[in-house]
Amino acid sequence: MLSIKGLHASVDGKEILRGIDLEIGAGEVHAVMGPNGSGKSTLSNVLTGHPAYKVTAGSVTFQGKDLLALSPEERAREGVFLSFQYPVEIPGVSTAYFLKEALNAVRVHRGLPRMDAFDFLKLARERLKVVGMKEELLHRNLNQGFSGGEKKRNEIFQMAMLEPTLGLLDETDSGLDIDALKAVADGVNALRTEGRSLIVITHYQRLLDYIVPDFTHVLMKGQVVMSGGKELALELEDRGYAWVEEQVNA
Amino acid sequence: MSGLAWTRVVPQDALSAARAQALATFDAVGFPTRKDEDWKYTSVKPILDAELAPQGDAPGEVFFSGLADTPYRLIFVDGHLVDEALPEGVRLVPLGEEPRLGALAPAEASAFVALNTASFVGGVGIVVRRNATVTEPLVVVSALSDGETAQSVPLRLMVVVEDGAELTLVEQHPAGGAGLLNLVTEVFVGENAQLRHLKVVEGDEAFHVAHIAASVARVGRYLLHSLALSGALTRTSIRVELVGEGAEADLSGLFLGRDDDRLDHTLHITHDAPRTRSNQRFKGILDGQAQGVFTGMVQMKPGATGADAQQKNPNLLLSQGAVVHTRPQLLIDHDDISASHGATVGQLDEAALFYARQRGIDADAAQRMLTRAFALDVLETLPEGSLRDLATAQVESWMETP
Ligand SMILES: Nc1ncnc2c1ncn2[C@@H]1O[C@H](COP(=O)(O)OP(=O)(O)OP(=O)(O)O)[C@@H](O)[C@H]1O
Ligand SMILES: [Mg+2]
Repeated sequence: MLSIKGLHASVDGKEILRGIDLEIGAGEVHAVMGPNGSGKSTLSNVLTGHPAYKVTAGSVTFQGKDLLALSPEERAREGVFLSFQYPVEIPGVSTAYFLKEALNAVRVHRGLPRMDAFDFLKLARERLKVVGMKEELLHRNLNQGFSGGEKKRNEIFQMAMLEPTLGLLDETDSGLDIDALKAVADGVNALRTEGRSLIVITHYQRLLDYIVPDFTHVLMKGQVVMSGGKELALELEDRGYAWVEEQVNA
Repeated sequence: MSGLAWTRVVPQDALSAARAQALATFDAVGFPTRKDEDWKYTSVKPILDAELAPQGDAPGEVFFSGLADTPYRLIFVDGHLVDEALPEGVRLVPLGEEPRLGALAPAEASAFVALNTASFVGGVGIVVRRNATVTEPLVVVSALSDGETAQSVPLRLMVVVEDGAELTLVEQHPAGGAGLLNLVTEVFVGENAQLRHLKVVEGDEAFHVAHIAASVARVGRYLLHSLALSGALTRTSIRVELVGEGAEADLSGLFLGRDDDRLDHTLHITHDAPRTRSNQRFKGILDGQAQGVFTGMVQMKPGATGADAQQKNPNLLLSQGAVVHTRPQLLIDHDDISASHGATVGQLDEAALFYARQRGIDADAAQRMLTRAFALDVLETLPEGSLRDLATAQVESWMETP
């Protein structure tokens, strides 16, 4: 469903991604790990079309379409969703209003009728339960004054509402306490379906105990330097990245 | 007839002496230039270049909607009062017999005030009786017609809210006309009285030059909300004197400009008594080649011990060509006061725009959503209900206009 070939990308003229190859099949969960600054968030920004990042070489095909030719909003409507490492606060716009606009943009694109306020609220209440998020947050300004944990839950709640085909989870576990981690992971697992693929970026094996990946990749200096199964994540936790570097250099 | 003949019209009436004096003041100082601190960023040249006729003897035809639910109103067309319905507790007084005329807005205040005093024929004093609480708003509409000749219309108002009384005044200037409205409003807020004043200028090709001069007595409150929605030249100068102990001025506003709009809010607030409070909160959003000006001057007189002044002017520029000049100024003669101001100029938050687009919202809609949120925030100073709804609808309709 997603095929990344020889992807190079730069920001401010500085090359960050230096030839990434990844194949993600339908329904698969891929964990991406790697040291700080290795380019994990850059990869999610490039895949979602952030205007600050320039693709200098390579291709990305998503469900047969040239993903890089689409605007950020078109990619989202086609089913690419990013759970942001740092969700943005938007003063003056309520979570409900924002998400209703987003949901309707996605629905119209998929040939579905717009949802009115009543049906939206009904669906939202249902999906809030999936991530254990308080309804009160729907009526507050988007992410404004939300705790770190509430922001991350809100990301997964939005994913549950928008029902993407590909979910990119960028450190969704950071800033969560143990219970919240479990709740968010349960939410993500509830969204695992045959057709939905996930790229889970994380620093910690802990999250992968709950969201068990099919594959694990190690990103270093803008390249995938090692790939394996779920046991690779355990090994990294044990031995750190120096070990990977030695293996790569050998 | 010269293009400036409208500046030489002086009616013969009970005010003849004051008028002659005002005209002499105007002749002595002339129109303001960019050298005039108060007009540093706003040129009056477009007004002088326009071929304006003096105000006509009768109102022209105008069309405007939105008055259906308004039981109490004063409607001026081309400076002529054409309709009036007043609530209990409010009466009109002729300005010719009003000794306070010019007390707050002397001819020296500006060329436009001088010309207004010299030539106004339309206008009234609105007096709210002592201790009367008027719950329904009084709507004052001043429309200009779009006739064959654009006119210069001087309109004069005085609002007197006597001790302990309360009034909500909604001043509407609908779009669609041509010419110049030269409006001078003197406001007296009595002891423990309150005036809430919502002023909406729906801009167009017409020039709008307004001068509001208010004086607030002991523990009185003047609450002004000024919306300038486009306009070839919309200038609102606001002078407030807090003369009684504990008097308050809460002034907020929005100026929304696009194309070649010129929008100017110039405020002077004087704290002249102990424990007086003033708060200014104005936001500008400018697109196209529009220019906005915000000047907020606060002066603390020596008697103003324990006074407090707050001022905020964040602005949003939506295009390369848009400009905003913001000048917060505090003049303090002593140090027993607290004051703060913050003026900022910025663009829409790129991170927020991307976040919205990542959720499927297109770039234009995302920009509109963030712009709307920035603007509507100011309207939260209005009480919930019909007044805030009216202002919100005005701002939204401006946003939806391409
Ligand atoms: N917008 C940007 N402007 C300048 N430099 C950037 C930008 N985005 C990323 N970088 C740089 O690119 C490199 C990779 O950053 P990226 O955020 O992708 O790392 P990461 O793997 O997600 O790290 P972390 O684990 O800390 O989240 C870093 O050196 C970072 O400073
Ligand atoms: Mg990152």
